[in-house]
Amino acid sequence: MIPFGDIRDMQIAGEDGLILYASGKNLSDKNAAIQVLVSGIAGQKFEWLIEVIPSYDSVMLVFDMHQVDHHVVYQALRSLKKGNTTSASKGKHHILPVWYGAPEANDLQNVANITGLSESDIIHIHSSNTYRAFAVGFAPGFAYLGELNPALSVPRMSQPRTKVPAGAVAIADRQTAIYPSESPGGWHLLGLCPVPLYRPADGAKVLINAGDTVSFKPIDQSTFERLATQYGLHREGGKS
Amino acid sequence: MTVSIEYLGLAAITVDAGRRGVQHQGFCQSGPMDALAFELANRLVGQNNAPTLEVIGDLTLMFTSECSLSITGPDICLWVNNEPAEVWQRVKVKAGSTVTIKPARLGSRYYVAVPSGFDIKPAVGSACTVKREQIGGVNANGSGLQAGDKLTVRDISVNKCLSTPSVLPDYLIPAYDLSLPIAIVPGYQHTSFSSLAWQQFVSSDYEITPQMDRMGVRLKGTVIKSQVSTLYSEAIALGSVQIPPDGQPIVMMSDRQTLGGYPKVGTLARCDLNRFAQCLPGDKIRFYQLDAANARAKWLLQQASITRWFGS
Repeated sequence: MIPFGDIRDMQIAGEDGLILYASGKNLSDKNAAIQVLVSGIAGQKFEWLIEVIPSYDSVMLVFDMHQVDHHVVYQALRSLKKGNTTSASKGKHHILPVWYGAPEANDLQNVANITGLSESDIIHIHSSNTYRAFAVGFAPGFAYLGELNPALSVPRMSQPRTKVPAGAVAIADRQTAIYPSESPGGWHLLGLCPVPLYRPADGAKVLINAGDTVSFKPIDQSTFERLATQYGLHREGGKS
Repeated sequence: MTVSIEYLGLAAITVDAGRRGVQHQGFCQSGPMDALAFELANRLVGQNNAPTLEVIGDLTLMFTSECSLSITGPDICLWVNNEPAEVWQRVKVKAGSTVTIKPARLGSRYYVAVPSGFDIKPAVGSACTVKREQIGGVNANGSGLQAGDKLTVRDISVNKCLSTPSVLPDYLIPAYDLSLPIAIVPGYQHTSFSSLAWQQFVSSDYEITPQMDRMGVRLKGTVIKSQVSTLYSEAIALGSVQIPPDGQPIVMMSDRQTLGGYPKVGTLARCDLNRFAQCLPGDKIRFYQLDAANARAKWLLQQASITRWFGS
């Protein structure tokens, strides 16, 4: 299996899986190439296709071993029509409100100490960029958004928290994300988003898909509380 | 028609073949740990894939109506109304019967299937219970079963017209023999490991550690190192063998997270994955290299022998 087009490498990922890695001069280019490939594959409705799992610079295909093997999958990818492989389907844009500095998700002081920025600079820089969902994974609806302004780049915490609240807006390295559910986590927290990213009790819907874009809009506590009530977000011990 | 859980030793969840086509949204694949025992349990009661119990530890069930059931898994003792009964086959119990199951080894997983399956509301297309995703299962929130829970059989009328084989030939009953090595298909960052590291990996014993669950199984043994240290997170296939910085392999199982950034040396072959899934802490295993084409062929042969016995 020889790489072709924007694919720099291909590897076996089990007897029913193939992982492809994109080329590109930077991460955004590689991710865009992956999104284009994913759109091209989606357009074909291959009967043997079980999973298409994109990530930063790769996409894994899982196929039905009863129908095909790696070679058939490889040939199918090679013969994707050019027209289908030049553009990614346009993702949705989400504007997500954030109550920066919400007491149960507030590492602003800590981030200020590491970056040398003021808290208001941190909020301004974080909320004035449009981010791309490079990948969705780790947990349902957890979107890895990038790339963060280098000035805001902070390493992961050396001691991860055992409990990060649902809706926490977080940063680590050059990425930002919103925790869809309460979980452990080692990212620095900037605030809370009242819009649910994952609703397990309501058809287990997921808000953000890979390829979507996201921007953040600062809101105050009273707006947050109004929206949280509207969306039914449950804040544990959040009344302060 | 209900099946009530009178006693539960350790843990039980509802499973089916797993979630399909949703890993790109972050949902784990889920599905049975021992997919072969799961499949055979279902085949014995006339279906391929229906909500089934995956159980660890002792279990006592009470059936309010006449019903068939099948129990599959390694080294299990079964009693129906205190009379010994057979596993790996279809058993018919009368209304009011008590079914008691005891596995020989605490921690191994076994399956309890009934015709048409248990009536579990599907979440994201599956009855699988995933606690950290808060979906699936009898309470529809990812929680496991508890003593006192009552399960409903989806369609009790199926019991009356079962015409498929009710027993298995010996050759279809899985051998959970760990003296045979477990096949690994090289892949992913395989070439970033030196040939010496690979030789060490396939020629030394690895011990199963207590750090094991439905997400993954951590092994202890010869340390192997990859020459890559930074890797963007990427999709993790079922049975992937991750090598974290400490060089001790982690095998990624049914409930693994969808993406991860550790280098992977390959994936365990599907034909051996069920045998690996039944390993317990302290067990020692060894790997051998199998290429993808042969791994696929072995799995297809295994599937064909099941299909041939059951007639479709």
